[in-house]
Amino acid sequence: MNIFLTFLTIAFFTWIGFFVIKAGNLLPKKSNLFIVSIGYGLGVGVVSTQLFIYARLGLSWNVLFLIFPWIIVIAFFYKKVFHLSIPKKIKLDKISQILLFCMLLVFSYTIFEALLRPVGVWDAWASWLLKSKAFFIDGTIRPDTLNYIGAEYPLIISLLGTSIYLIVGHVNDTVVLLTSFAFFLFLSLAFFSSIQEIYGTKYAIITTFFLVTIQNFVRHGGRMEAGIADLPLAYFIFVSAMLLLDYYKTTNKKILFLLSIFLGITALIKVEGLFITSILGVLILYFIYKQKAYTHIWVLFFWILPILDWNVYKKIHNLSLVVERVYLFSLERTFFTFYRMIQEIINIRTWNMLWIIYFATLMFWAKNLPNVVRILTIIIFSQLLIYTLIYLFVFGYDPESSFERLLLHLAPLAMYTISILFMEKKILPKFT
Amino acid sequence: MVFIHSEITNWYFLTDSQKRYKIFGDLYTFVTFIDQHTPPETTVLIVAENGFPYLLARYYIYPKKVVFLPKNEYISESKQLSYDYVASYSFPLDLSQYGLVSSFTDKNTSKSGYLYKKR
Repeated sequence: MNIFLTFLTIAFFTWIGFFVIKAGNLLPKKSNLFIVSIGYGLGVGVVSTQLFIYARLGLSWNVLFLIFPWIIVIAFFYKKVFHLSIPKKIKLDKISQILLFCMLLVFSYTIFEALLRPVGVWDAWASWLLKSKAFFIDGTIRPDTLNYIGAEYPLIISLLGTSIYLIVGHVNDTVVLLTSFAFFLFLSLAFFSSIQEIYGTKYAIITTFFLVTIQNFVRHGGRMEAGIADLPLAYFIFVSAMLLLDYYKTTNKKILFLLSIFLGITALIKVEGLFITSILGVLILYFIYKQKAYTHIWVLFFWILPILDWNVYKKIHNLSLVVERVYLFSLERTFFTFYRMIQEIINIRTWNMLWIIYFATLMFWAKNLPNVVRILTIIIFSQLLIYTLIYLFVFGYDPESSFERLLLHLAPLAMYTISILFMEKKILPKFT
Repeated sequence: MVFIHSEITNWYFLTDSQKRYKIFGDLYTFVTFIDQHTPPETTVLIVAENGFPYLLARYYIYPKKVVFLPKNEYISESKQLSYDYVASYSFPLDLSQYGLVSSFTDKNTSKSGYLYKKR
């Protein structure tokens, strides 16, 4: 029953996100599959924000009280959304069928792993899920609870856990891992539909297969051997980057609006999200300047507002802020940092050949990169540079304990880059 | 397939408590022991060699609160302790203002846990 209710909640979040995008006609030219895949992330962000606002206003977290506004919204816009066309039947060849079957096996395995045991990774229960549990037991977000647990991480992921507990009716740190599986599934679908849109179904299946079978994704999707927020962050970064590319293509203000919301959510997953949304923000501002589309700037308010609000909330309630000590430059530390980072990049057990191929293809075609790849490269390298600077100068961070997780945030974009380069440089035959 | 088979045989047939014991070992016994022997809405001071028992207790016995004191600092501070309960992991404490409420010894690891209440 708990498993069923958790899947139902995940479906409900996805439905809310899908509905908002469709009702607002925010992605007019995108496939329903892409909208469904990003609907989950939007739903998670929206419902977590709803819980946060209710807590701030002193409103009850009664499940009916939480669902009721959505029933009204859905009833109001029902007709607008339900002009869905039935998808065309796609004929798949033998290879595609086999790859699809293998991907289904991987997804089944991650569900099996997620449900096999309670959460064991210390980071997950000591902080993220402790907050989920505390909010559920307290029935609200209490500043003294946040002071007790520590408020170094924003609340979206913890509130996602709380929402599952609210639906299930008790704390269950096993079924909550299904939300990680959902991020894995919807990331794969977002990746698939993004490639399919440009290069067709067969190539999308092949490249998605390579993404889905990366061991680090499989582990985070089910067994969750590392941080609970890293796979969600990878998902949100990928979706934000895809929306950015779409905005570059269309200069559509509605897409920028959706992108801004996603940037706001991404920044509030964990601190690394704030860095990358700053990079994307700069790229958006540059584009607005180039296009002289100055009326678009106000839309970025939806990105800035949640970040400001969270920091004001922390300030008002004197919540503990992480104060880091800073290292001075050290040659030994620099060598150690780069050594560990390269060691992880060539770690085939974790990444298959992803990062090796990524850097090799980039170097090979460095002089003549397609525009899309240039933008993605700026994003990936800027984030890698930030990570490197943190390792070099901030006390308490070293690549050995965290670089694997940081690479996970960027891995879908790296895979997307490889997929584009291989097709654009005509390495592979044309797939139909 | 062999890996999946071993995962099933190692985990699937265990109860929820057995699975948690398999993950956390006698520390799980320690935190459930504290939970069982303390009233709701209490604060427990945990004295241990490292912070892991404290972190685990913080998660498992919430909404009861826990505070951590490293073993090497407890001797100097033991006279001023103001908590209703003090728990120690793997070694007994000598506290004049506190009486022993209960103790346990894990069957598999022989590690002990002690719970004291203020007199």
